[in-house]
Amino acid sequence: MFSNWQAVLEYRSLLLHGFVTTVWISVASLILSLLIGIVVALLRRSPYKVISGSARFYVEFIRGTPLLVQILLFFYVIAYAIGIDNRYIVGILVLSLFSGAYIAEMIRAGIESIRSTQIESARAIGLTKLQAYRYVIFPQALRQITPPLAGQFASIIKDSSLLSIIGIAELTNTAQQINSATYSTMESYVPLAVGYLILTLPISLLSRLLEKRFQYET
Amino acid sequence: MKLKIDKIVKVFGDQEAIAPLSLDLGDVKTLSLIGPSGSGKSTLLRMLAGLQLPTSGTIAINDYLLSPDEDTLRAYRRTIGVVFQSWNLFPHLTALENIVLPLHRVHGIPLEEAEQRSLELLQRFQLAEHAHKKPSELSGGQAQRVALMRAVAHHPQLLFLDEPTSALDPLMTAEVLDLVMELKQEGRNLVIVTHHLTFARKIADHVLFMADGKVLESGSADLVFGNPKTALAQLYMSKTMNY
Amino acid sequence: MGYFGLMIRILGLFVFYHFLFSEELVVGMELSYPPFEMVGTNGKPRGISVSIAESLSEYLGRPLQIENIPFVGLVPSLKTNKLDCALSSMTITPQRAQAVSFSLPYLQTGLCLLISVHSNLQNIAQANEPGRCFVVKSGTSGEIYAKGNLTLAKVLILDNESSCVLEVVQGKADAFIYDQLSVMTNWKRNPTTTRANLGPFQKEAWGIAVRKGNQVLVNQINAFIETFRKEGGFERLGDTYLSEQKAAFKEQGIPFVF
Repeated sequence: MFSNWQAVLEYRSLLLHGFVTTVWISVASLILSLLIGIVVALLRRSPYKVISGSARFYVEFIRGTPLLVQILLFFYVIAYAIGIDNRYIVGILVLSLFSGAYIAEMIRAGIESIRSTQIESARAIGLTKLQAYRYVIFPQALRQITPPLAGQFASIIKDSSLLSIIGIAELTNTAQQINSATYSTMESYVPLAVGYLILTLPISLLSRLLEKRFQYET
Repeated sequence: MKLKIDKIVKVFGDQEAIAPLSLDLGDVKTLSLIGPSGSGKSTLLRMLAGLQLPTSGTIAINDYLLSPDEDTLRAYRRTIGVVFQSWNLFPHLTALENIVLPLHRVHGIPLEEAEQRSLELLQRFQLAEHAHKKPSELSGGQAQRVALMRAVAHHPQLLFLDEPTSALDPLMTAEVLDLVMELKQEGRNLVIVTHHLTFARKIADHVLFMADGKVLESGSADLVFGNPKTALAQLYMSKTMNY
Repeated sequence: MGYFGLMIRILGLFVFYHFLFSEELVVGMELSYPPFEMVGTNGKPRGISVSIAESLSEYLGRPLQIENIPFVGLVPSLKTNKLDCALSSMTITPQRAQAVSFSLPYLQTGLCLLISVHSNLQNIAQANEPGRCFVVKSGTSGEIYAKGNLTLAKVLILDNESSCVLEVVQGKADAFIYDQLSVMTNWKRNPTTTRANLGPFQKEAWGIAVRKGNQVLVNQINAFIETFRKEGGFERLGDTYLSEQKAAFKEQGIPFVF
């Protein structure tokens, strides 16, 4: 069955190109989604119902609908209406909005996981609210959030494969094209899987390492 | 310390935690609050420490009126020290870092000097070897003692202790209470909520017995423990003194 | 060996002999290409290709089983012997002929253009220029043509027809390169946003694909196609499913597909 390696090998520069595209789209999306996540997490804690309600709606919508649907809707309906043409920009936006919702929840959980007694302790020793956030809450929340955040990065990398549906030439799209061009059965999917593993394995190792380092009783 | 409480009330939702309370104490070195759970002792202590505002009424400590403004209250809190029953220390910092943090960030003491002072304190109370451990690596007694260190490092005028040993076993309890006694003997003013009546009797010069948000007994330790007037207090003393 | 091992062996033999002497004619097609391959309201396959398949199975005296497989997966499925044949409006190309064996052609069509109203493109001669953008469906002869001939233009490869049409409708691409019948259908559906240049710039023939080397089946299918054509089978299908298109082609002076 796997006899078509020769043909697939000829396309290796195309595969590399797809790999690089996946990497930079994922990195850009991670950074943007982190920003979105932080902003949304803070908005969730706003005392104004309109703000916190909107933030909540955004999170629920994103988490309750498939990414595939979001990509198609966003590109062919919303981006078209707004006038954004460049599919790479749209791709990064969609992926960031998607991931941002999950990250917002992680951050929220991280902050809320810090016992209220901590905040009281901070008050009792005379720290201002800002100082409490900076020296007590954020450092602890960060340690809590980092392992699942690494997992989220790995998810972004894998989810980016869905962007092939709007014609973005990332790794999966490229492998599919090579597959059909060479009439291979599965040959090009092996370097595809390897490509993703090259990206996700180090992340999961790093995440494991961080978890151990930050482990302590809360 | 001088303590003047004028008709304070504390209501949580529709529950009255502290009934209208007035108190005027002239010169108390150590004040102890005792009584059954839910009597309002902790609530009163927190109000005295500026961590909670009374629903109505005023509090004046050493002639300083506690105002409802958060900034002013924070300034007040910087002159006192507080130790809670548990979870005082920040788990992501070492024992040393926990003590240094308020010294450096709240009181503006330069980092080196703050570290120096903190180490000296730890050494004085035989905790120096634990300086670089995180709270999770300390025993309960060690952690509470470090919390006490943190509370006194900036030479506060007043020390508030809210059941500092209730989460500890007898040996650790003794460790901590020894330290508290030492601090008292150094001349610090204390307000302490505790269940350890023998200790309260030993350390306090004035005792308040509270139940259901009211102060039922107020007087010297000997008076309150030896000759309680109210039936509830009498019952309490007789039952708890057994063990 | 044990009782369990014995049962497994017997089961294995059963499965093996079932496939060895299987009577069923397993036909693969992608049921998303009306009016040739589609899903009826009752969930069952219907369309021109389905009717042809039914007639073929009758001719061969074998019960029919239709497998709904994405277009790009048809050739691989033939190679791994999951299908007896693929009857899915598949163009006969030299590259495909290296991977599978084709029957004689049963339909003549050609690649043409579904052009966006936002574009000034008139015909294929103007296509290979930088700045032009074309969209094709993955795995089709349109993709092969674009990759081979439109080296200066941008080529977007999407995996479903409706996305390709959307790209043209929204002006993101100059044109969609696809077969005449589909281009006409999509043009009629989007009259204000698209126009069609139906003149085929690459003539194509559709054939039934069979696993390479299975000459027996190829011969049988060829015989069937001849017979079916002689008795007017294709004509009837054209009248039933493609009457509108037949008329439009006649109007424009383009020879019809069958």
